[in-house]
Amino acid sequence: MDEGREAVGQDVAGAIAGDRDALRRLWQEHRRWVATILIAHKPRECEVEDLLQAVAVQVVRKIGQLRDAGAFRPWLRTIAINAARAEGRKISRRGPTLRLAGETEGAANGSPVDGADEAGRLMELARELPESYREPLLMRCARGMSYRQIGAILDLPETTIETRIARGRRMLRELAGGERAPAGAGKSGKRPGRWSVVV
Amino acid sequence: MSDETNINDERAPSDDALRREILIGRVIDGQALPDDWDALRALAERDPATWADLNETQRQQELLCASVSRLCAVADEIDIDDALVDPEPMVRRLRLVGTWGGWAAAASLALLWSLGINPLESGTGGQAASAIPMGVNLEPDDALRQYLDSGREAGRVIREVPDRVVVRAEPLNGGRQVEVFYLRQILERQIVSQVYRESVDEMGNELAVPVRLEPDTSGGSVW
Repeated sequence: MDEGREAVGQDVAGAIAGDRDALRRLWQEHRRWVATILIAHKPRECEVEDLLQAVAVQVVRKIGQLRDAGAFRPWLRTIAINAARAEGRKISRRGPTLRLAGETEGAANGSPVDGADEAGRLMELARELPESYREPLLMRCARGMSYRQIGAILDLPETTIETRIARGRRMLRELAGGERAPAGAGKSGKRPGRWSVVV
Repeated sequence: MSDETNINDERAPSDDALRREILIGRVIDGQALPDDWDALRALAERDPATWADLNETQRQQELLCASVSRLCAVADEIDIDDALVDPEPMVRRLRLVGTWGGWAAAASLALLWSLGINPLESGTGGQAASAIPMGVNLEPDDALRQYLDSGREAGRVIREVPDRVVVRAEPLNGGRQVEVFYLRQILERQIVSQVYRESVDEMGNELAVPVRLEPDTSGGSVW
């Protein structure tokens, strides 16, 4: 683990100094992690793939400006969040569009998930969690990051991360429970498909 | 001990419920120590629903991790090499995707390809559609998925835009069902050497006027 951290630190220093191979390794090491940050912050309508490309461009452009090699991951997280929010602003300027509500993101991407897929629906519910709970909860899913690693990135104590993840899980369980047995709904527990306007 | 203060703030309603959730979390994350297990068993003796919540939370965590893993898989396809060599083409591509996200604006500019393909006749299938074997009975969704997959492999199809545009919706069977007509949008890409703008001469005849390609310096469209 320490060896891995040291290797990342060396690659960060190299990338800042203009070593392209080091930057390439860093990207490959962190791109799934960046995707998790994007999933936690992106507007529903945005594709992770597009945002990842935007982040890649920003990383190439700005890596030379990073002053503290130890701050690489928080720096990368900030770039990812900014990319997600910038896309959100574009969407809000674009005006209303229609989308098939109830369709999960995985289904929209052509993956084998359909509207009834429980994992997909659970992800949709996770998006409804407050940001401060949603992000550490999803990061915990990304290659099983430890509380300490998540805390280092979010600049929060390990115990705070543990509490937020615990609360996030409880909220998610309650949301899923409410969805499974909504008042007056049938036994299927599925949200009814509907057409809606997403602004 | 600023950390302690922070912890206490986070755990302000320091009730058994939160304590129980933290213990459940430690079990799920493989962090539970013998003392944690003892505390969880003690809680469960008072509230047997604890075991059911542990089971359900564990199940949800596995599902959520599977969902995150699936959504993140696309990251393996995103290499930084394009941006390393020259970030501009990638930026331009992103702008185009953004433009097509607001696709209605693009409808004001009709283009004719100089590839001998009449876009009005080629439909959305074009060359990629020919990858679907003839004589094979595919369901419409399977056929579309095959077109998208083979189109992606060929570099022709970028992706399907997730939003579908509702054109009309009419109630059926006395309102028990709704018939919905909608547009599906598929973003394709082709490399062309010349583009034309549709126009009309003074006699009302349709014309194809060559468009001069300019380098992108405005930060906006490539035209």
